[in-house]
Amino acid sequence: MSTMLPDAWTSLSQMPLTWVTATIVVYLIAVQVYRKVSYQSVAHPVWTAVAALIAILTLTETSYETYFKCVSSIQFMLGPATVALAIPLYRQLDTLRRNWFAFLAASILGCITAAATAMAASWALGAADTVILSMSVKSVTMPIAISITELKGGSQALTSALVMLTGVLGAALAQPVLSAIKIRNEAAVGFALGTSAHGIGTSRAFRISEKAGAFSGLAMGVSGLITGLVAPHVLKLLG
Amino acid sequence: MIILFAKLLAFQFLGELLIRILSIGIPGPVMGMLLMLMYLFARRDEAEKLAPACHRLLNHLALFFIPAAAGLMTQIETLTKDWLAIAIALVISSLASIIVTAGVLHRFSK
Repeated sequence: MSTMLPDAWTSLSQMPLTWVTATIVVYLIAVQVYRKVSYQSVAHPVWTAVAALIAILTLTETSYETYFKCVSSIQFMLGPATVALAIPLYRQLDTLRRNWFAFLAASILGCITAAATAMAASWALGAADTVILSMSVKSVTMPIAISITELKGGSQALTSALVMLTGVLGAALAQPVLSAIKIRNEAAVGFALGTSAHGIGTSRAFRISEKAGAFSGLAMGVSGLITGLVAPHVLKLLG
Repeated sequence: MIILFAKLLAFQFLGELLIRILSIGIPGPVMGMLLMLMYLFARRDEAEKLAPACHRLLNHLALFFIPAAAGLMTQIETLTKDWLAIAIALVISSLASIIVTAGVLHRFSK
C-alpha cells in the first residue's frame, strides 16, 4: 500500500506538524463527542481520541515510534501541567490543613489497595510476570509509573497501556460507585479519582469542579510519591 | 498565559535541578509542583492572579496524555493474550481503591 501513497504524504507523514495537528484536532472532536453524550465516562476524550488515532496510524501505516517522535511537544506539556497543579491546590489549602491526617491515611491505604488487589488478582488469574509487575504501578501518574518500571526492568509500553486503561476505567467508575455508597463530598470524590486514576482521573475531576480537581491533583501527587518510594522495595521482596 | 507558562517551566527546571543535586528518586515535575507551592506561600496574591490562565491550561490536561496513551497500539498482543485477567484485575483494583480512598477520607474528615 505504501508504494501507492503519493510522494507528498511520504514526507508529510514524518513531520511533527502533521501529527501534532492530527492529535489536537482529534482531541477537540473527542471533547465535542464527550459533551454531546453529556460527559458519559465511556466516551472520555483520552479513550476515544486514542482509539481514533490508532485507527489513523494503522490506516496510514505509520509506526508508533514515528508518531511519538513527532508529538513529543505535546508530551512535553505534561511537565508544566504537573507543576500547574500547585495553583488549584494552594487555593484549597484550608480544607487540607483541617484534615491532613484523613488525607494522608486515605492516600496510603488507597495506594496499597490499588497495587495489592491488582497484583493479587492478575497473579491468581495466571497473567504473565511482566503484566503483574506493571500492575503494581498502574494507578500512579505516567512519568512515575514509567520510572519505576524502568528501575525494575519491566515493559514501559505495557505499563503505559495499563496506566491509561486504569485512568479511563477509574474516571468512569468513581462517581457512580461513590454516589451508590452515598459519598458525594467533592473533596472525597476528587481525592479518590486522583488516587485510583491519576491524571486522567484528575482531568475528569476538573469537569466536576475546581475543588474536586484540586484534590484529585493533590492525591495524584501524594500517591505518586508514596508509590515511588515504596513500590521498588516491595517488588524487591517479592522477587 | 505566557507569564504562567514561563513560571511553570522555571519551577519544573528548578525541580529537575534539585532532584539531581539531592539525587532523590521522585520525578522533576512533582518536585517542581512542591517548589511552586512554596512560591505561592511566599507571594500570597500570586495564586489568584495565575488562576484563570491555569484553569484554561488544566481544562485540557487530557490532551497531554494522548501521546503516551497511544502506546497502547504496541501492546495489543500482550493485552489480548491475558485480556480476561487484566480486565478483572483492573476492575477489582479500581473499585477497591476508589471505595477505600473515599471511605477513609469520609470517615476521618471533620
